Amino acid sequence: MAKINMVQALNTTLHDVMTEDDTVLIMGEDVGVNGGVFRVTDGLYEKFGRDRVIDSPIAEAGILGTAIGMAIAGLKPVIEMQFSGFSYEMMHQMEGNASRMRNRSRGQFTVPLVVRMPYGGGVRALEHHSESKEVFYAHTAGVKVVIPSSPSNAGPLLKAAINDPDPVVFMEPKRSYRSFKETIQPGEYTIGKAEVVTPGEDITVVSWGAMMRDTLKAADMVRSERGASLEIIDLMTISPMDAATIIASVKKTGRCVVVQEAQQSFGPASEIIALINDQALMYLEAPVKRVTMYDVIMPLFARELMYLPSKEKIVRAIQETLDF
Amino acid sequence: MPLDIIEKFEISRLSILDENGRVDDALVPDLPDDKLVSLYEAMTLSRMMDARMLNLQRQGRLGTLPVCTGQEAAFCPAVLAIRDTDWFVGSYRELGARLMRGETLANALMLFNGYEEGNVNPVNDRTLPISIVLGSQLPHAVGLAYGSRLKGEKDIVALTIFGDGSTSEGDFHEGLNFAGVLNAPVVFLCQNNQFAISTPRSIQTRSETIAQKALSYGIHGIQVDGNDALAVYKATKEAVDRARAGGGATLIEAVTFRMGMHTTADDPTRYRTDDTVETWEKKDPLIRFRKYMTEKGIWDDGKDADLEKRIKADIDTAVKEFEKGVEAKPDAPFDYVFGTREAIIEEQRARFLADLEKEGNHG
Amino acid sequence: MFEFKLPDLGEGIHEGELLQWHVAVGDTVKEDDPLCEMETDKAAVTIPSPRSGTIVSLNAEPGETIDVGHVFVVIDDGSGEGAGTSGSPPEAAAPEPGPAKDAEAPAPEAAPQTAPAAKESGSGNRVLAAPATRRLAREMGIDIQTVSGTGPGGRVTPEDLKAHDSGITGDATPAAAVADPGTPAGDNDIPEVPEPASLVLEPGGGAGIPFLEITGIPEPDGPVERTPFRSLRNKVAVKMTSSSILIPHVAHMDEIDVTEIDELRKTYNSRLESGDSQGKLTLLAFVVKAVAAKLKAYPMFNASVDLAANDIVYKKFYHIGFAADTPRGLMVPVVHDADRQSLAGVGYRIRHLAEKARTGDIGVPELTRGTFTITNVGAIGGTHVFPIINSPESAILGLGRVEKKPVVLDDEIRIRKMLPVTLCFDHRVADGAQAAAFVRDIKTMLENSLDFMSQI
Repeated sequence: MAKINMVQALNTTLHDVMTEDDTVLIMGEDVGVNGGVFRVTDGLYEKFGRDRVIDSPIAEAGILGTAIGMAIAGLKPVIEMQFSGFSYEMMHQMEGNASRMRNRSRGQFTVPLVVRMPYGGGVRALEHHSESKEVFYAHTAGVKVVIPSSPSNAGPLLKAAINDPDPVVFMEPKRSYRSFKETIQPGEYTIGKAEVVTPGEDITVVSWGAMMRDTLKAADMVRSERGASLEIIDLMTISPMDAATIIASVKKTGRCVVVQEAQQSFGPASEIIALINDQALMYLEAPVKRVTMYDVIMPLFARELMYLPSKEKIVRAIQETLDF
Repeated sequence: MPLDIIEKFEISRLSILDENGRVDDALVPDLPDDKLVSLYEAMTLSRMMDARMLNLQRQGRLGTLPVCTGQEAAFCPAVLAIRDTDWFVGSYRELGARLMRGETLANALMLFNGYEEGNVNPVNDRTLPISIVLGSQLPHAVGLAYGSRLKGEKDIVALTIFGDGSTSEGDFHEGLNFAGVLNAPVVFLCQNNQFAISTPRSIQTRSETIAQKALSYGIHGIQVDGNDALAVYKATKEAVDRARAGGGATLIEAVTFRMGMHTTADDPTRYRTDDTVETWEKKDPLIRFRKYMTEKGIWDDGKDADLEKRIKADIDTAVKEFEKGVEAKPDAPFDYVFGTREAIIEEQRARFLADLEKEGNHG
Repeated sequence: MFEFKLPDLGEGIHEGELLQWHVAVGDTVKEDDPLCEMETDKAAVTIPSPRSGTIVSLNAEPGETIDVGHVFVVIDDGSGEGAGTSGSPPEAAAPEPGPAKDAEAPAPEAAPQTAPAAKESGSGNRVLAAPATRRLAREMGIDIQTVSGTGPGGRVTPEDLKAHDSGITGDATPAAAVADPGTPAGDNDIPEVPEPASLVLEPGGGAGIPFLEITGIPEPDGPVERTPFRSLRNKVAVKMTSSSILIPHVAHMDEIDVTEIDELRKTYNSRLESGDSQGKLTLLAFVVKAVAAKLKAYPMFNASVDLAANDIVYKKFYHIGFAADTPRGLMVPVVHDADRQSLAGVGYRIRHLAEKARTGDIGVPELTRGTFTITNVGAIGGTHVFPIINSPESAILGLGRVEKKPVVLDDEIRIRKMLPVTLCFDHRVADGAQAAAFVRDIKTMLENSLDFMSQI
């Protein structure tokens, strides 16, 4: 089987899902004839037609708002925010309606839709194109937030998101879109479930999205340097968070480092540490460390790599936690 | 290279029934007598329930409440123009319309006493709950209309209701634009009641009419006398029929007046004079409709007194029933976060119930 | 009788000013008849009567401010005395007691909820300990406040707890190969050496060992100072007692001529850039390298006795501990994989670890997993030392002070630098001949610098 990148994995999945299920519909800016600015929706317009692959006006609230109606009417819209930096234009529809329709109507109306959005830094982009704001959506009850990290898990996770009964914000790490290819490894990927990528005994390292690559490389370095045994967890679902997998791991290792691309404060890393504090404090041998971006406006690309978590920073955090 | 006029637009205003109950025979819609009577009954129920709920709020028996007295003709006839299978996507100032869609008096009492259960329409599953964020429901209506059509229900339309204040929101413009480009079968009904809390219509938009905003999006637009039930019915019916036939969306501006406060937390005397209110009292939609029906020979004072008595009894019963207590599961909010069972939610539910047991029910 | 309490008329209103009554005491009112005009921060409103009946009392004057919740009108509605109050919207039906039946919630973590407050809050100065160690203390029934820490920054370690635990347990010094759950296990995992059964040291007792008598001391006849066995001293005591009781020690002594190797050392050190004191080699570094090199040929001195399995465990890795006298007592930092490190690397590790031990910054990983120990009293003085084996190791090498001595060499009396050494070994795993050969080989290696260079 040929090796493919994440864009190809997502594209193939959309082709498959739309063939299997004629209630699935694509809508967004430039997703039709153009196939999306990252080509994730390439070829869908030609195959499924303009009724199911809608080139929308440039209006993010309109896209989500209309998709909410479509979802209530029984469709499964998969909409695209061209970049996560533009998604704030639809925040009121997400917080005000998509997330709450189930609760507001006591289950009479539900909003099963997927909001795809490329996010994250490291691709030398313009302003607003490099942030990791998964916490905006994760902080909204009723919304699920999913972030794939590889060609292998991107497809199954997208399919699971489309088949989920709730609104899912599906954030695609654009740094990982084309940076590596792999032969797709079949695996069970469920929303709400983290994956123990590498089992280990001495320390737990949790990450997600584009940071998984750097985390795995850093883990290799520590492993060969001191023979430590590292347990690496790919979170994959930010919300609802899979506390059980993290807690079981930390109870075993007693040490933990969380690597998050987003800025430090109030992020998923903080939440993970709080969960550990609640459920595994008495198993800790060392304080849990986080490796994150700083609490600054995401710098333009001349400086971005200085600010993002790096392999070296991750290695140091792991070493310090092991040596504590 | 001449300066040419390449497009000309005009906006119509429809008025059929005047303040004295006289009608323009040429324009009177084809509505059977029993429909006229039921429309009047619906508007009266709306008026009386609105007044009763305001009293209950003042007595501490209901929470904050938006009132809609004076606007009954702007929303009730519109419901008469659609089918049960069409989508109704309202805001929060159309009590009578919701009751016509099958919501019960208990629905209103529960909702405005803080129970989401009040949002559940017991008979109609195409009536969305109230929408409080202004204008945000407009794109929903577009998606519902488009979605049902794509699902194969070719003759479904969506009716959405909102106020003049909402027309300044981005969602209004995005909703109309999407309806235009998707050719979605939607009827946008704007209750222009002259005020967005304290902000008068004159500083909400520089447009001469709200109806003309439709033209920017390539959809139909019309202004009607919103206190004229016949005009609102006729305009809505035409818009619905056109949409159903694939002719696209319509924006209807129903010009009316909010006789009461924005909500019970508002004091309208701070921003408008009694004169204005008195002018609009003469235009009351119920009085002129009653005169019309009386003139037509299908209504009289005796029937009117009977109706009021019947409605009052119904409301009394509903209030009494409601005040016996609401069947409300305290942990219901945990049931409706996700459609899947999530450990992190269930852990918190267990903690909530344990806390509740320790501290007692503060409902 | 119905008591009408002023409701919250707006969103979060706390009081209202009574403008005007529409009724008087004795008036008959119907439900929804106007009672009064009230002005709040938000609006002036008419308050309708919530009941039909007769006005019994009006509890405020126009101009007066009334708090929300205050009974400002009482109406006789025929319901009898004290029948009801207002202002309370219907409440939700009482909840089902207990957690939802179908909730598959994960059980809350028990440990954090059973707070150890009483135990640990005795002292104002909380001891330092990782939460995992605190949990262990609780499980062992030890008040962690009474334990002195020997870990980094004075932190209480699991070993401290074990040492503190009553009686003698094995693995009590920091150098012992105790399985620390927080310590990264290396590639060279070995079967754990089980702890010997606890020995109870009490007067009159003998811990079941024949001929062993433990008694109190006679009342001292003079001024004394009593100090409890605490902390590191206690650990050393436990450790050494059990080692000397359980291991049959044999000592083998010799002297090594280090004149040549010391010249080599000095030459090396003199070539270092001035100020690079960290790079300077000590004689100990040479001994560590020589021992590590020769242990491969004498595995019985790099072994452990596994009493539980009745096995001798020969270790294929060479972690050489060296005893260090620190302000807090005896510690044994470990140079891991000494056989694989360069001479300079070993020298650096020794200095570095000794410094960390001295300042108390040394970590558990650096004090554990040793396989052989060297103890050096030479800096202070003395000829030979008889060291006790650092259990569960099988041998220890004691170094005395290097002295210039007259030595017969090639039938001439020469002045040579002599290092006295004693190998103490576990007679269960090795015999005297092996010890003699082992020491001889080390001696040969250290006396001949070329030999040394070729074998490290």
